[in-house]
Amino acid sequence: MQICKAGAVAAGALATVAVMGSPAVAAKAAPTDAKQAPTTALSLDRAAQPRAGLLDKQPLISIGVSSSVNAAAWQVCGSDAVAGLGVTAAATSPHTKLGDCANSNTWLKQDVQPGLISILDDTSVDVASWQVCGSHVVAGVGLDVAQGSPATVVGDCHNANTLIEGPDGVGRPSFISLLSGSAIDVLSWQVCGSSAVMGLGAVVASSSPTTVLGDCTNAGSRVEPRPVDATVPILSGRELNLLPLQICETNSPASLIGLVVPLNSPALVTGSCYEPDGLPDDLDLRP
Amino acid sequence: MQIKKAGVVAAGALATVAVMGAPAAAAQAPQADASAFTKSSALDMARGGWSNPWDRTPQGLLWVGTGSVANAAAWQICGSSAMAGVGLTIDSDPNTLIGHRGDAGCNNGNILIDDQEVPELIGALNDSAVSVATWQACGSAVAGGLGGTVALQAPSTVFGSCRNGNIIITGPEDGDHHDHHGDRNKKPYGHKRTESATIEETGAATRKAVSPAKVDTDKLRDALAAKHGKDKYKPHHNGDHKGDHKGDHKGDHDKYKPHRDATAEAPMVGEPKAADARNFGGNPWDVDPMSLLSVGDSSAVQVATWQLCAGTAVWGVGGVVQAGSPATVWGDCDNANVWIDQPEWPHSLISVLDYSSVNVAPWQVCGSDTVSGVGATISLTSPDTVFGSCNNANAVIK
Repeated sequence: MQICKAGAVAAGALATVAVMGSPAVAAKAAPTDAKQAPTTALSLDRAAQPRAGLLDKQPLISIGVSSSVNAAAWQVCGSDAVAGLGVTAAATSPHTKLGDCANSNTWLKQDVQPGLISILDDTSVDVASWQVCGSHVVAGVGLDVAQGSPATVVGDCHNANTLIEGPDGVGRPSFISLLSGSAIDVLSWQVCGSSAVMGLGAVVASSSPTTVLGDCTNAGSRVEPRPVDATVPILSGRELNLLPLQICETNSPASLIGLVVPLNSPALVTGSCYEPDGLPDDLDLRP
Repeated sequence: MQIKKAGVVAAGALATVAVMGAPAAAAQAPQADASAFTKSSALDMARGGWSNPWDRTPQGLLWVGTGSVANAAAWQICGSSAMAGVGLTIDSDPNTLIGHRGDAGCNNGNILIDDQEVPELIGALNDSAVSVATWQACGSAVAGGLGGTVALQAPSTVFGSCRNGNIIITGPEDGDHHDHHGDRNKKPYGHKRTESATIEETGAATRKAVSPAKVDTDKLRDALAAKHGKDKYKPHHNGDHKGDHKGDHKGDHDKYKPHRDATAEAPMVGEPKAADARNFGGNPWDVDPMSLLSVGDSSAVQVATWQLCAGTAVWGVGGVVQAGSPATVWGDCDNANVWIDQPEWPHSLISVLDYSSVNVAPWQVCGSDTVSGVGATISLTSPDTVFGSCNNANAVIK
């Protein structure tokens, strides 16, 4: 009887504590523990009791937790570029980059317990992540002239890649999960080892080779799903890629709009050009 | 009978604790006179040697912006020819910066935050970093604003790395569940935490964080944790207890650690039963504190973090003309990168934008010529060279 009382108290405590994290769990836990708690509950067996209700508390609502948002992340790396209105003119001014160029890459791990209602948790959003890597580019309105000015990157160029790792444990599933654990890329553009116009304008390159001695990856995403799905998943655990564009090892006179005049300026990428659809499974996307 | 009393008392104490965290729950708790327990010898038996349930530091009720950093318009011009504002700069002298210790070069607006507090009941923007307009020109020629820069035979050179607007927010769990007996005492930087060291460490850790090579998070966390004197708050893997766990624990953060820490604790001297019990999961009343509502805790917000690294740029309206002025950086260029350690236990009942990164318009020009605005850059025999990597706006949250 006394022990029963003690057990009841302990159960009450558990229930009280559980209220904070998970009302549903608390309601179940209290009566069960009160009936079954043995004499030694406080000293020995208590330790063996499942602690799921205590440790695996679940938030009620979580919005945008452990998420990353990048808007207009621009990188010009070992290049000539007009990124707004204007002119860049370079004569016998090589641009050389001995190393990698990484822009707006994201690495998330879904280790936080999502809420019963989970919105945009563990999600990466990249909007207009642009990278110019070992290239001559007009990205806005303008003119880019390079004479005897090679653009060279000795390394890889990574832009707007996303890796969302799965959790180490199982955890509790959400009831509703909206856009959680997703990689969302919009307008991820990369110009890699090329001469190009991405807006209005002209690029004139004379004896100015564009070279990337490495790989070019753009808007690659990999999402490792949670072991247990939400009851109502809405666009969760997805890879959403809208209007990605990669210009890689290209020297075409016709560009998006405008004109490219490459004179004695070869474009070379010694590695691979990875677009979202063509990512090999074993490619390391960690920034 | 005594045991019954003890039980009631324990319930009262727990209820007291619960009041702070959950008012609704407290209303259901029985009322009891806590003074009765202190006289009861049965209490110790019932507790099995556990620490007192009422011996806890209370959660904060409302915290806003605690432990946070806000930077506005942090500008640095480092080893560069620059015009920032309105006017004209004519430079015909070399600009050279040689970083000390062989690694540190130019650091601007980098932030390192240790997030290790008990979660408050209602919190907003605690342990967070907000940076607006953090600009750095490093080993470069730049026209920022309205005007022009002319560099003639004026090489800009930085021997070291350029780091701008990088943010690291480390969690309270740093290294806690990494049982590295041998590594615990290693302090890779081997110096006290000072202002300059912090910045340096920030950059170094960020560089590590964004390195395209495999990141050894254990080592990074250990390094960060060891540097910041948090050892006393850690589980004592190395058996160095020295009375830390004896007697009164007031003010000791150990109690508020999640239970998984307790599983790693070594037995307390003279309290073998307690140790046994704790090794199975700690006191029954030792519950991970949790917020009711938190918004933007341990998050990083950046707007317009710009870096020009061994480059030539117009940011604004104007022009840059340079001849015979090479720009060179012998190191990495890191801009607006974010590393956030997230806890593995739930942080809050209602959690909005915690442990998140929002980065708007982080721009980096690295070993390049560019016009980002209105104007022109003209370079004659002025090579731009970076011997290192350029990392911009990469984020790691794990």
